[in-house]
Amino acid sequence: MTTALQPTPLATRSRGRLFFWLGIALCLAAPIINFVQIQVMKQLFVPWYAAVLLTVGVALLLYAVTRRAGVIRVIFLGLFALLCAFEWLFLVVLTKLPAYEGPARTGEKMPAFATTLADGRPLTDKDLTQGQASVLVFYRGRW
Amino acid sequence: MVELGELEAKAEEFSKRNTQVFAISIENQETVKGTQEKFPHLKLVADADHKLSDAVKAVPTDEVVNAPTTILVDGKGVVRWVFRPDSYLRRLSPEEVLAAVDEYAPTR
Repeated sequence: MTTALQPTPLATRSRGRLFFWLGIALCLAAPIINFVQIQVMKQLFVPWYAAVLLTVGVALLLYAVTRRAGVIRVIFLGLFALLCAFEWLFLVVLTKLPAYEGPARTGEKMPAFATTLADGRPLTDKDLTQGQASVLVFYRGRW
Repeated sequence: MVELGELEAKAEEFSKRNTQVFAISIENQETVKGTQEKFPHLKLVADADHKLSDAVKAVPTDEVVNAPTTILVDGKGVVRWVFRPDSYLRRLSPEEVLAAVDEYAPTR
């Protein structure tokens, strides 16, 4: 007569462990890659990959919790789910920029202005008519 | 400051195209002076009173600082290209700016 093998405590603990750690790795990869993108590669594009990595990571964590709902797993799932939700909100809503509707229009003269260079010398629209092309980059300060 | 650093690194390419690069800041003059020292090939504009930013409406409604915006002007003072990204996180790479100069305001 044979009896069905019962899961050992160790086997119970390891249920979904691979998915749990894979989920953690993907969730942590998002901010790390974002840091490398900006600080190392100097690339300033919208990091949609971060939201995607977090979403897949959270899905894996959720699956791991369905396999075994340990306290640690539930805590990590909650934390990364919040981070994931914020990332989507940040990318889709908070960083949305309105279209340019100002008076600088292609084919028309640059609007008149008079401002100051860093060294205190004046700069006006007339200074942009001396034969050199000019690129005007409006930036936000420290980022 | 990543954006300015990238533009500074391509200063020679802009120079070859007889193109000057102005970086417009609405920070106070002392701060802009410090920034100018870090990026000597760019022409930093200390526009704390928004004279240039208001003239081209670079600050969106309900905002207090410039939205990232790039305006290309040819040697006669005519606007040839205006770029405003759809996200605050997006900036033009210097290669994209150089390509725009070549396409819309070639000077060589």
